[in-house]
Amino acid sequence: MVRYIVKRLALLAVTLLGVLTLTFFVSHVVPGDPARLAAGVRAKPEQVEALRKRLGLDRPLWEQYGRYIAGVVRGDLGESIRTRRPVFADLAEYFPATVELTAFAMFLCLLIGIPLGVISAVRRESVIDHVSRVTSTAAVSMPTFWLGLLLQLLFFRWLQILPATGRLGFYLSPPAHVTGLYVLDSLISGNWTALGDSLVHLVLPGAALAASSMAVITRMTRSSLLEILSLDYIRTARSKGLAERLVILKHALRNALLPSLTVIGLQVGVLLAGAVLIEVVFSWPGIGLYAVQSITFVDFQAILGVTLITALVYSGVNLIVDVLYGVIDPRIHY
Amino acid sequence: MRIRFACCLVALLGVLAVSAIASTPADTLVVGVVEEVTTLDPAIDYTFGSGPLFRAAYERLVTFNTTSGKIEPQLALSWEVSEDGKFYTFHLRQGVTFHDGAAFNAAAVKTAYDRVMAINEGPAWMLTSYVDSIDVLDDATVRFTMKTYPFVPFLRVLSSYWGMCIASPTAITQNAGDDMGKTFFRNHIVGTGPYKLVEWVEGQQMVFERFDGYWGGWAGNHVKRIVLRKVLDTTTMSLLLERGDLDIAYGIPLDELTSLNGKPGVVIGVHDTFTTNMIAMNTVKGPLADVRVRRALSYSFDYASAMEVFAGYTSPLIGQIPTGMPGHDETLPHYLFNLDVAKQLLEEAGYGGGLTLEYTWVTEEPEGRRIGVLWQDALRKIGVDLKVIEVTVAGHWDRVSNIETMPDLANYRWGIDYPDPSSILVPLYHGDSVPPAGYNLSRFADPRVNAVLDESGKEADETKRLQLLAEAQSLLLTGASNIWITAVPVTVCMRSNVQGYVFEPAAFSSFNFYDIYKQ
Repeated sequence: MVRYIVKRLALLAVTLLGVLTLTFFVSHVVPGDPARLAAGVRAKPEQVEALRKRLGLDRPLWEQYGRYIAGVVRGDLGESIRTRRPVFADLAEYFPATVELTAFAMFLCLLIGIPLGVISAVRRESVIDHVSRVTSTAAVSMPTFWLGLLLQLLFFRWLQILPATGRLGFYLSPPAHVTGLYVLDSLISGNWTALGDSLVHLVLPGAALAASSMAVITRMTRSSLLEILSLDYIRTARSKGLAERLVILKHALRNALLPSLTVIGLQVGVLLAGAVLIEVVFSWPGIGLYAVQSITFVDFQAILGVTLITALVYSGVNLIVDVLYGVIDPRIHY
Repeated sequence: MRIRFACCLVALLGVLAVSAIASTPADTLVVGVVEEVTTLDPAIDYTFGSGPLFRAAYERLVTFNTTSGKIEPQLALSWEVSEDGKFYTFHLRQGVTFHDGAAFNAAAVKTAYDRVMAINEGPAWMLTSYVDSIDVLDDATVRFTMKTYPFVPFLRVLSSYWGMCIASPTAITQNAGDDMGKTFFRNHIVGTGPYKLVEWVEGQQMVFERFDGYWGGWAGNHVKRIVLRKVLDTTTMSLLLERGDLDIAYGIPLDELTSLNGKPGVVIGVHDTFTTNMIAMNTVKGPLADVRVRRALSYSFDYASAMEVFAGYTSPLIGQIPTGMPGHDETLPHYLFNLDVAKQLLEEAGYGGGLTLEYTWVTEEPEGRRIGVLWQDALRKIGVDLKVIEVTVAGHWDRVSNIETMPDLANYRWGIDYPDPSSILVPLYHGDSVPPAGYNLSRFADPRVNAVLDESGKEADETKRLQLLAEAQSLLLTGASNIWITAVPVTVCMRSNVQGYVFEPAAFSSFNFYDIYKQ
């Protein structure tokens, strides 16, 4: 197992290098002069050149690439030309917001998706199964940003029970910084007002973001559970006189969750991608919003930083999923 | 069990409802803005996003009064300009302190502007191009020695928000570090303005509180606190204003205003700025090098219908200088929509058989797309096929800065640096301002225009100066280097209890916070 993990980590490094190399060259061939944009279109040519030199953009591309990769190895992600500070500081500022949002969305997915899938499978063709099928289809086919706007309209404008933007209300200061996740930080510092308020602010963007992944997880759980329930060992378990609850939760679900696990892992990627849109709709100050702004600014270092951290999270989650396979299914050995 | 659960749910919903519906407190002004700054450093920032914060917390030597068109005192009480225009001597306001307690004096002015010039980024050119040195004559008197003189608009340059905000000398020297204080000033504002920055949660909001030591005092009606809330999605911004969660909503797009029309307690405001929208014509390459073709295109543009792109909130631009700015002249001759004249001119130029032209518009300036599409229809009738191409702001600069890639026609906006016609005419139409030196995208180079513009910068007599500006504008219209469309309007919508707001086209993204209060 340990050897497997080490091997995977080594592979991860290769993947990251590949992703960074690709992004580096792609982002350098798109039109746009970052030095000019950073200096402003009204800046004088000599100012632009001075800035270009300071940012190292006057060097040959290969040299810039070499310097960048060497920097990354040292833990230096360069300086953002838009925000005028190290990319690392920017990521530390914005990434926790995205983590909080996607984690909350994932929590909703699992909390609702798996039980709903189980019920739909066990009570196949029941009302609840039909309702879940229709809502799942709707949730998957609805564009995330549109769902976000609809939720805002319903819960913020008409019902007036949930806020529509930001991570906290207008008059609250964030809890003392520990992790950057407001929910965790307010728990740690015992700031109950901030805790309640940050949870309330998570509901709408979290739900909008979770919807399509939740639908996928529900359908996946349902179909794999149905498949398992038709197997011989389940019939054996039932004929032994085991309580139906035990048959389903202990015998069937554990095996049925295996394919769902892969899907859940992949959904982390989907959620991270969806966060870009949701963050714009809900003015959620996360990495998605940061990425969008960096791209319009041709802010190479920032784009690379976002790519790096996204790739890292995605590969990391996949690794965890693969390791969990072994835990859930003892037949799988690494 | 079920009853208990239901009770809990009701209680929870109740709590949610209370926390979600909170109209803004009476002593706090909550402003929704789309754009956020990325640095608070007045020596570096060169964006429209800084308008509200710089006006809340910083001050300049002088300000520009849009109504009178005059320069007025702020931190300088009075000034003299030497006969030859070489020296500007300012007599400073006494008893002014910075937010950190430092005293405002002549040395403070020198320290702040020397820093801007030493950093030499973004807006610094407005000082470095004209100022040779700044000298402290005594505690209350500071003298600017000019590099190029006479330069008549200099006081107006000093009224700009960009680069001219005066930061505390103590903060500058104590936090200089090895980068002239860039790291410190990225996150801090230390000015003399009425409000001081107390919190900046990046990407979310900025909170300002009244500065008790403000020289203007706090008698009369003022708010205690200002919250600048970033709201990226403008549909959401409308909802927030409608519900009373925002007192002011800045930058809701014109076509979204209908959703706010007739909503109780909401006042819709649309104002013309000093930013203009134009189409640059490539005067050196391709068919548009022929002035007859450029004039034909000028006649083929339906100026009145194009105003619908701006939801009818503005009117066609006459000349190059927008209404309200010195030099604007309603009597200038201008092109009117006339396809017959356009067709005739095209035939004269030998393009009776048709012509294909490229037109680019910038993603971030979406009116350009609709202008292009509207024009495309009209042009088709005279045999011109217009290719409408979208470019990003980065791609736009790449294309227009090189004559090889400059399209036939490029839609663009120009916002002024300081409230003077020279801030439009020189960078856009002077022969020396061809990119990358300036923004003369059409590469229009008329020696007479250059001479008149140079002269107008030196002409201290306002009447004579206006005559020169009118001549320059007429020459530009004859040369038809651009199609001048309109001043770009912005929306500033507010709750009806907000009083005292005055729109300033020269600093349209800012607010006169000190005068604003809530009833």
